[in-house]
Amino acid sequence: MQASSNLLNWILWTPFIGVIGVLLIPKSKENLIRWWALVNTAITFVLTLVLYSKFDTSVPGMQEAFNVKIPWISSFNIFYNLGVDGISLPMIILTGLLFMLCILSSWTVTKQIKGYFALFLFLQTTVFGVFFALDFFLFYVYWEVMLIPMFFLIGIWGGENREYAAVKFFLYTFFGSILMLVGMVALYYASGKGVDSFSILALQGGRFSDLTIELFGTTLSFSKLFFIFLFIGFAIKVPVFPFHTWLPHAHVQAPTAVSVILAGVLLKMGTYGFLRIAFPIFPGASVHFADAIAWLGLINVIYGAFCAMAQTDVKKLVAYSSVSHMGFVMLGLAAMTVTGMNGAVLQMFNHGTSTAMMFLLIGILYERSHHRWIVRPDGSKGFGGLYTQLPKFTIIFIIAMFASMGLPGLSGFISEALIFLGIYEKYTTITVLALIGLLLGAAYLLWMFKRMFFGDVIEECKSYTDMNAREIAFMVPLCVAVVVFGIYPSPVLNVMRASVGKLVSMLATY
Amino acid sequence: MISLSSYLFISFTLFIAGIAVMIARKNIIAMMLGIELILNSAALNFAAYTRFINNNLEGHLMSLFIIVIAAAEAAVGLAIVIRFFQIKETIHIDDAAQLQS
Amino acid sequence: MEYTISTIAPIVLLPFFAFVINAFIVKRFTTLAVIISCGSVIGSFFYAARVFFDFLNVFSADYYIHKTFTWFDLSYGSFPFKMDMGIYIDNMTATMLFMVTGVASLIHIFSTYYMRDDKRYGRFFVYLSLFTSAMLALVLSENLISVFIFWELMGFCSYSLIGFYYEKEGAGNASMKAFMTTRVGDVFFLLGILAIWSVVGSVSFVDIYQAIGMGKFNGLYALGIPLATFAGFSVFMGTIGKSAQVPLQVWLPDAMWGPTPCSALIHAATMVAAGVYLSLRCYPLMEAGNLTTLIAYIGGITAFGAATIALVQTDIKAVLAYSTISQLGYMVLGVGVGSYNAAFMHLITHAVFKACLFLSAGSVIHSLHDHHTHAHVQEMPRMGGLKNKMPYTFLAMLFCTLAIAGIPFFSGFVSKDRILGDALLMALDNKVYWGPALLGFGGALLTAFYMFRMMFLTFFGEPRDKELYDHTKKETLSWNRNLPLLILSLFTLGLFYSGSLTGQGFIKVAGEKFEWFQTLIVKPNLASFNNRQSQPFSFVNNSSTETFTKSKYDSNHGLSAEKAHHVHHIHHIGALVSIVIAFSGVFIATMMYFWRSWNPGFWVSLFSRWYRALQNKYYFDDVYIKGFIQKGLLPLNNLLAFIDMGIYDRYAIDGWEKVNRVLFTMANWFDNIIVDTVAVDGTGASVRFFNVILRTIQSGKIQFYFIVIILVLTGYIWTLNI
Repeated sequence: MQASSNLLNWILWTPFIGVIGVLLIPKSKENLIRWWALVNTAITFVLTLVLYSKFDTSVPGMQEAFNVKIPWISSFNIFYNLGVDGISLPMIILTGLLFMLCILSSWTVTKQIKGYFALFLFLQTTVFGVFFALDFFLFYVYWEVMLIPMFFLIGIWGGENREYAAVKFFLYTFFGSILMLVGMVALYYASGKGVDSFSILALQGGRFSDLTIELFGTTLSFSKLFFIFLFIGFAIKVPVFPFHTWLPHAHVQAPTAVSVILAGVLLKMGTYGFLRIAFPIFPGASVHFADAIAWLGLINVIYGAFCAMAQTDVKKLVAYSSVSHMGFVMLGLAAMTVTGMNGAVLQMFNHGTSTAMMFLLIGILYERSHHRWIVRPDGSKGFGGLYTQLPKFTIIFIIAMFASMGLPGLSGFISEALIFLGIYEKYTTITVLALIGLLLGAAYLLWMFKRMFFGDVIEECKSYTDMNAREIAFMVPLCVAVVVFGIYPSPVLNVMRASVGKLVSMLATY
Repeated sequence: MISLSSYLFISFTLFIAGIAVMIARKNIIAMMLGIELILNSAALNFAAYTRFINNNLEGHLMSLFIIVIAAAEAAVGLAIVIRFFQIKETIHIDDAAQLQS
Repeated sequence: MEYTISTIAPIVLLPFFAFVINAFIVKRFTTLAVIISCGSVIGSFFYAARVFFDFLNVFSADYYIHKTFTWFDLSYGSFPFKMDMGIYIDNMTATMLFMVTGVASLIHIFSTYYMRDDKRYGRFFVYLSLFTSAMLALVLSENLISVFIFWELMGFCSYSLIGFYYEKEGAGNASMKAFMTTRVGDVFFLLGILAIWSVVGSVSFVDIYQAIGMGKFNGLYALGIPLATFAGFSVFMGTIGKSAQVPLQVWLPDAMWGPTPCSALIHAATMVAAGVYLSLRCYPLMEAGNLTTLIAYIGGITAFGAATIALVQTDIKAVLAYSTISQLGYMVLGVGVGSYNAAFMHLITHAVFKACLFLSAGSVIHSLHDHHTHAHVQEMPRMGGLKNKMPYTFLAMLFCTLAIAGIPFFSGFVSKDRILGDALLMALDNKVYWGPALLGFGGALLTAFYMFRMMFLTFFGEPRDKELYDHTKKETLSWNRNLPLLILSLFTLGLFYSGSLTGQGFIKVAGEKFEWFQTLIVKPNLASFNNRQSQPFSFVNNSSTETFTKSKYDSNHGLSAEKAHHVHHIHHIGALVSIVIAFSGVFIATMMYFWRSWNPGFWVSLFSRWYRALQNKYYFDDVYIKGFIQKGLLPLNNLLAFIDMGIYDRYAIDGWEKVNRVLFTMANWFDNIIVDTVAVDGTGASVRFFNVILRTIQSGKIQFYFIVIILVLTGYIWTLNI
C-alpha cells in the first residue's frame, strides 16, 4: 500500500524535479534541455499509465490506496491531501499525454529555451496538483500558482499581441479565483473551522443546505450564494458565456504548445471544478441552478459556433470551437443523469485530444506559413490547395477535424451522443436547439477546410514542406487515441463510471 | 583609617580634572588624556566601593577590565588620530566637525 | 444450418480489413491494394449470398436473427444504462446484403477499368472499401444508433469521394454541400433517436417494434407534438437528407463531381437507398405517427419535380442524377402509400439498373477524351451516334433505360407499377392521395421521355462533335469494362423479381417460385415481437432445431377475397395506365430526338419561363446559398462575432479598464492632494521647521557636546534630589 500511495506524489513532483534539472543545465546546452524535458514528461506519462493500471474501476469515489494526507498548516487544519478517483483519472492521463507531446512539439522554440521548458514543466506540476488536490486550500494554491507559468508562457513566447493577451488571461482568471477564495473562506467558517474545514470530501453532501446568511440586510441561502461564487470562479476557466472573451485572445497569442495545454487541459479544470467541488458541496443549489447551467451551455454551443464561423484566423476559429464544445460539457453536467455526466466527462477527455490535434496541426502549419489567415483582411486567400501540397498533413487534419465535429467512429461522437441522451428528457427544447450547434460545428470546420485545402495550390503555399518525422511522432498518438476511443470507449468509460454514478446518485436525492 | 569618602573625593577630583581637560583642550591627544583620567576615576570608584561595601573581588575585576578597555581605547583613538593627521595635517579638534551636516 | 460468427461477420469485416490494410499499403503497393479491395468485396458477396439463399429457401417468412453484445455499460446502482450493438437479419436485410455486395463487387471490378489511369487509383479503392463495409454494417445494424454511426461514416466516404479531385474548387464546394445538406437530415435523425430512446429505453428495432405494438408512444408529447409523429418525422428527415428528397435534394446533382464509379455505387445504388431502407425499417413508427400522407407527398413531389429538371439537362451524369432523385421519390412514395413490399423492391431494382446506367455513362465518358482540354466529355450535345463505337455499352444502357422507363417485362416496370398501383388504390380510398398518385404517374411519363432523350442524344443520330467522335476508339470487349455492365443489365429483366407483370398477377408467366419478393418482404408483424427472447451474442445459433415452415405465397395478402378482388382490379388499371404512359413518353422522345419531327425548341420557347426555372433547378440552390447562407447565416455570424469581440469584449470587458482608469484617477487625486500633500508633505514641513532650530545646536564641535552632556547630567542629578 505504501508503494502505491507514493505514486501520486511521484506523478505530482516528477515534473518539478524536471524544473530543477532544467535550471541546473547550462543555458548553452539546448538539446540537453529539450531531451531532459521530454524524458521527464515521458516518465510522468508512464507513471500516469501505471496509476491507470493500478486503478480499481469498481470503486466509486476516492481510491483509498492512493490517498496521501499530511498536515501542512496545522493551525488552520490545512492538509497536503492528494487523491484520485474516476473523474480525475482521465484528466490526469490526458495531462500526462498532452504535456509529453507538447514538449515534442516545442522542439522548434528557440527563444530562451531554458526558461520555456522550466515554466512548462512547472505548469505540469501545478495542473497535476489541481487534479489531485483533495484539500480546498491546496486546490486553490495550485489553481492560482498555475497562472504564473501561464502568464509568462503567453507573455514571453506568444504572438505579436502577447502582453495584452497574457494580462487579460491573468486578470480574468484571477477575478474568478478571488470569488472562489471568498467561497472557500466562507465554507471554512460555515463548517466550524474544524479538522475537516478544508477537506473537499468532508464538505460534500448537503451540509450547508439549510444554512442562511445575512447580507446587506437580506437573508440569502448560503448554499445558493456561494454556489454562484464558485460557479463564476470555475465558469471563467471553462469558459462559459459571458466569461469567454479571454479565450480567443489567449489562444491566438499563445505559442502552439501552450494553446494545446490551454485548450486540452486547462479548460477542463473549470468543468472538473464543478464535478469535484461545486456540485458535491452544494448539491441542492446545483440542482436548483441546473436550468440556468443548461441554458448557458446552450448559448455556449450556439454562440461559439456562430462566432467560429465568422473567423478568418484559423486559430481563432478553433478557439471559438472550443467554446462551443465546452458548451456540450456544460449541457451534460446540467443533465445530472448517468448518461449526461458520463458524456460530459468523456467529452472533456475527447475534446482534449481532438482540440489538441487541431492546435498542434495549426502550429505545424504556422511554422511554415508564419500567418494564420484563412482569408486575409484584404480578401485574398491565405491558404489554398494544401491538400495537394501537404498530403500527410491533410490526412491527419481530416481525422482531427472530423473527430472535432463528432463523426461517428471517432471519439467526439460517443460523448456528444451520451450528452444528448442525458439531456433530452429533461430539456427537450434545449436539445433541439443544441443540435443546431452540431450542424454549425460541421459547417464552420468544413468551410474552413474547403477554403484552405481544396483548389489549386496558391503561390506562397508551394514552398511548404510536408510533416517531418518528429511532427508525425507527436500527432500519431493522438490520432490513435481519437480512433480507438471512437470505436471502443470502454477503457475510459469504465474508469469514470462508478465515480460519476456516485455523484449522480447523490445529486438525484435533491 | 582612610575612609570611603576620601577615595571618592580623589575619584571626583580626577573626574572633574578629566572633564575639564576634555572641554578645555583643543588638542585631540590631550583630550584623550582627559578620557584616561575619567576612566581611572571610575576604576578607583569600583575598587573603593568593593573594598568597603562588598569586600569581594568583583570591583577589582571591573577595575582591571577598565584598564584593558582603556588601553584598547587609547590604541584605537591614537590610530584615528594618526589617520586624521594624515588627512587633515592637524590634530585640532575643531577641524573634525564633519558630523555637522 | 450453423450460423456462427464466422459466417456473418466476414460480410462486414472483409471490406473493413481491406480498408485498414489498404490505408497503410496503398502508397507503395497500389496494385496489391486494389486486389485486396476487390477480393474482399467479392468474398463478402459470397458470404452474403449464403445468408440470402438461406433466408430465401430455408427459413420461415418472419424468421429473424437478432444478436447483441454490450458496447459499453454505464450502469450504477439504480441508474441503468447500457448501449448494445449487434446484428439484426431478417428477409429485408438478407436481400439488401445480397444486392449491396453484388452491386459493389461489380462496381469494384469496373473501377479497375475506369480509375486505372488516375493518379489516385489506389486511394479510390480505400474509400470504396470503407464505404462498402459501412453500408453493409448499416444494413446489418440492429439498432438506430448503430445505423446512425454507419450512416454518418457513409456520409464521410461520400464527402471524400465527391471531393476526390481536390485540385478543383468545385469539388470542394460540392463535397461540402453534400455533407452539410445530409447533415441537416442527420441531425434530425439523431433527434428522432433521442426521442425514441426516451420512450423505449433502447433503440433496437425489435424493442421499437415491440413498444409500438404495445402502444407505448400513445399519449406522449414532445414540444407539443405527439411523440410518435415527432420521432417519426425526425427519422424521416434523415431519409430526406440521405435519399435527396425535397427540400434537401440539392446535394445529389453536385455529388457528380466524384468519379463516376463512386457516383454509381454511392450516389445512385446504395447510400442514397439507405435513406429509404431506414424509413422502411421504421415504417411502423411512421404509421404510428400518421406521417404516411406527408411522406407520400414528399415522394410524389420529388419524383415529379426531379423528373422535370432532368428534362433540360445536357450533362449525361446530371440526367442520371436527377433521375436518381426522381426514382428515390418513387420509393418514398411507395413508403407513403403503404406499399412496403414494392418500395423495397423498387429500391433493389433501381439499385441494379441505376448502377448499370452510371457505369455505362462512365464507360461512355471515359472513352470520350477531348484532346484540347485533356478532359473527359460529359456533355450530350457533343455526343451522338456512339452506338457504333461502343455497342456493348449501348446494349447495357438500353436494357437499363427500358427498365427505368417502365417498359413491361423489365424490372423497373414491375416495381414502379406496384407503387403506382398502390398509390391509385390509396387515392380511390382517400382523396388526399390523389396528389401523390398523379404526380407519380406524371413522373413516369417524364421518366420515359428523358431517358429515351438521353439515349437518342448519346447513341443515335449523327455525331455532333466529329473530331471527338473520330478520336474515340471502338469498344472492345474487356472483362473489367463490359462484364459488370452486362451482368447488371441482365438483372434488369423483370423475371428475376416477379413472374407477373403487376403486383397481384396480371400476366402470370411463371409459378409462385418467381414471387419470392412478395413472400419475403412483409411489413413487420408487431405482435410477433411481444414475446421475443433476446439472443446473446454467442453466435452458436440453435436455429437448426427450429422448424422452418415457409409460409405459402398468399396472393390475397391476408385480405378478404372480395377486397382482394378490388385490389387486383385497381392494380390492373394502374398497370394499363403505366404501360400507356411509358410508351407515350418513349413516343414523344422518339418524335423529338429520333425522327426529329417535333422541334424541342418550339416547346422551350413556349414554356420559356418554366424552362428557365428548370435550368435553375427551381431556384433551390439560389434560395439556400445566396438567400439563406449568404444573406442570412454569414451576416449573422459576422454580426455575432463583431458583437463578441468588437462590442462585448471591447466595451464590457476591456471597459473595466476604463472604469478602473476613472477609479484610479480619483484615487490618484485623493492620494496626491489629501494624503500626500496634506498628510505626508505636512509632516515633512514640520520637520523642516524644527530642523532649523536643531541644526544650530548641532555644531559638530565635540567639546560643545560634552558641555551639553555634562549640563544635562548635572541637571538630571540635580532633579534626583539627593
